[in-house]
Amino acid sequence: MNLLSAFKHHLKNKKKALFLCLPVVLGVIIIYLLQMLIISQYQIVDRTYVEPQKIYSSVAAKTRVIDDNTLSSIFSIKSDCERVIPWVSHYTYIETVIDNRIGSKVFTIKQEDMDWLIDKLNLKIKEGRLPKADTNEIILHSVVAKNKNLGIGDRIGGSVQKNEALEGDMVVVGILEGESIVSFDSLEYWMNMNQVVSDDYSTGILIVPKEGKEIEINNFINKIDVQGLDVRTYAIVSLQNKIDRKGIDIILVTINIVVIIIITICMGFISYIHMLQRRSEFGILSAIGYTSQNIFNQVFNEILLINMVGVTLGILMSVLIGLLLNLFIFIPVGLPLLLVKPDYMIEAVCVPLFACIFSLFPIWRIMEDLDPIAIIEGVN
Amino acid sequence: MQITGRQINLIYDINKEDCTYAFRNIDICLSSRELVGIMGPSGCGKSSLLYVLSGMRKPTSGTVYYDDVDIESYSINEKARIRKLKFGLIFQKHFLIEYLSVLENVMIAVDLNTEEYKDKAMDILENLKISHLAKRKPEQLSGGQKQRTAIARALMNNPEVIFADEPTASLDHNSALEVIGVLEQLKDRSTIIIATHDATILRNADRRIELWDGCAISKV
Repeated sequence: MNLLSAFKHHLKNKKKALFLCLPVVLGVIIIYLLQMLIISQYQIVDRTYVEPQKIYSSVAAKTRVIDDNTLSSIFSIKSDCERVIPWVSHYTYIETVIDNRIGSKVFTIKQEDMDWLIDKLNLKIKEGRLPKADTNEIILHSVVAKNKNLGIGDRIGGSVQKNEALEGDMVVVGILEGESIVSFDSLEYWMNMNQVVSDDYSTGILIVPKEGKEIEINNFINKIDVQGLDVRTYAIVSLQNKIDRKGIDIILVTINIVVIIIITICMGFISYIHMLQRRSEFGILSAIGYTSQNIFNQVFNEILLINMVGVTLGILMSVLIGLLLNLFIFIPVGLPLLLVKPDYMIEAVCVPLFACIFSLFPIWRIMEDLDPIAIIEGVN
Repeated sequence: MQITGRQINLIYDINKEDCTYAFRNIDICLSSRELVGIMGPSGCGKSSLLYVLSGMRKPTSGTVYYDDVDIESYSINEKARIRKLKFGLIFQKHFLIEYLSVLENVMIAVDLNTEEYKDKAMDILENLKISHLAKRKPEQLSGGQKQRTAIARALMNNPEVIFADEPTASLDHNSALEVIGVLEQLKDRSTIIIATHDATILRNADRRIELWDGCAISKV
């Protein structure tokens, strides 16, 4: 190892190296944790709102019932569909830690369709069983059950809990697990309770296209007159999701930029002072035959190493903080943070990248003005 | 290496109305393996002459030759390379790197951390009677010990030419004579140029050049 290697320099100046590292560590932690919190929240939204919609499109009556013309036109494409399922749209809410609620679908469908759709959505029964037809039974997704602290035999609904979006008084008979966070209850029960005597399909329809027919079916559904109807395809839901996130994304990007700017200025300033204090070292090195390029490379390696150590420490500490947050806050409500994701890394790496580049500008100026004789003679 | 200066002048503040000559019209020829003293009072231009001869500063006029090659034909990096490989430089102040040990400070002249160079550095420190301080940091040394370390650093690359600017300024007289004794021993393999105002340390110099107000007034 060379005597003037960056590693050796930092090893012999541990306190200074640690002090130089701090802004980078801090910046990485802020950006990484912010990403972790927001993207973990996004991921829950994806799993509740977007992910289930991948396999089906839906048409629901907004106020009364779906008119006969629309129904018959939907049935005209039945041959291109794997299944057309009568359905009523219900929701329950997942309470998040940061004081907001995410709607989670409750599919109110017939028992004969329930098993099929659960299989289609790649869900598995973790505990208990499916609701029986015409009963007030419900099977909840494990995330919803954990979030509401419910188990088999517990009751859920507006009649038993305040602020519950799901109407009535339902008994939990099963717990589901899988990527899509959805729950199921009985359509027959709902129709009896609400004295709905019209066609099964009149309140809503889930249309599951056959493989290879997705585009065709979605194009057809997009042409339906949406007046009084809530028509959704995977594309519509994804787009809506993106639009909903735009505001938060802008705030997130703004915070990232502000943090990066502050850290970059801090690092530039600290590095400049640190290097100014070492002018006599650079002066003597220059005098005894080190070129400006040699010295600049040495300083560049030192800054690079500081930033690499800073980003590594920052990420490790963020993951540790994330672990603690999960342990004490997020896992108890069933919404664990995703601790490691390439997205966080990419954003976090911007901190050392910019800090590194902008730290080098003032140092480059010091090197340009480096006059070993002036330093030796103590002129400046 | 032979270093020749022909009609070299160094002027400070050349663009101002009252420009100052650091030295003027110096003709100098330094042959291999001789000890040359440059003497004169403070401010007479001794240090400036060393800077010009060592290629650290460009003369305002005149030419410096290394083995008949005009040094201005070398690039800045080539001059730095010559200083690193062929010159040893000692300054009035030690300019040691505070976070490196004595041994490491000596070895930065070559920037290689091999056993061979470690042994060599230890031999030089032994010669200068400070090998027992090899692991210490500069802050733990006295002024004299620091200066000896700086001298050891200048000797590390087996220099063909040693430029010493008031190398004994921070030493007591006995230590100064000891250090000069070490430099004198190197005369067999290096050219040594010592700028000083202390005539007693140049007793064994082959030649002495006296500067007064930037002009060479006598040669011995």
